[in-house]
Amino acid sequence: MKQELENIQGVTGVEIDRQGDRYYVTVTLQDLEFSVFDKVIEQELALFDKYPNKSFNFDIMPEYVKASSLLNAA
Amino acid sequence: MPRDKDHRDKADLNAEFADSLDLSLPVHHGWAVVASFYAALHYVEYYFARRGDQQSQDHVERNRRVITHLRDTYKDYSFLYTLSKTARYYCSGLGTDAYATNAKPRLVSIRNFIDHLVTKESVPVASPEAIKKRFAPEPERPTPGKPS
Repeated sequence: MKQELENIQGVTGVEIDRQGDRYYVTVTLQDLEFSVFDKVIEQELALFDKYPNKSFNFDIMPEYVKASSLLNAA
Repeated sequence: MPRDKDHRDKADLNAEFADSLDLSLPVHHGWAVVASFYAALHYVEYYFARRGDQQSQDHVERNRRVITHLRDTYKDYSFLYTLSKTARYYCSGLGTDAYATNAKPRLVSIRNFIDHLVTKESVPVASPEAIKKRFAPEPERPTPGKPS
């Protein structure tokens, strides 16, 4: 899953936090560009269909947000 | 529990509010995007209420329902959610035309899709008995992540 998301052009980072059957997926995009967002959601929908008993919680954010979050945490 | 009309009214009011804002002011611009997302949220809850479903408890549950019952709107809905989150929590990231070019077209698309679906399916307004019958305890859902 991680590699498929990372292979999408415009995706700059993927972090997955698994807690049992729950997966918290943080996807960072170069920009809030819908064409890229669309491809990420395609992956989310594919996972939803493939693993109906698991929970995938996607958090998609632009890179500058991720960067500012890290700065604030430092 | 709010009924379908309550959600519909709330959705329309949020959409009207977004349209009424003077977008030349930066603070209005962000709130127009936020109002668009909440309008979309109430449009989907309007559809679920007409089905006789209980109101979604959180974003995770609502997302699952949108994927299950309104899949064709999920990309637009999810994008609006991300735009709204960016507008509320972060100090940059929205272009000055995010409402006109991104938020509003997606909100209109969601509203049109739901209106079309309601007409096509003639989704009946659920009676209190039907609502009670449909109710079943939901499995425990994870708490939605909050931005740090």
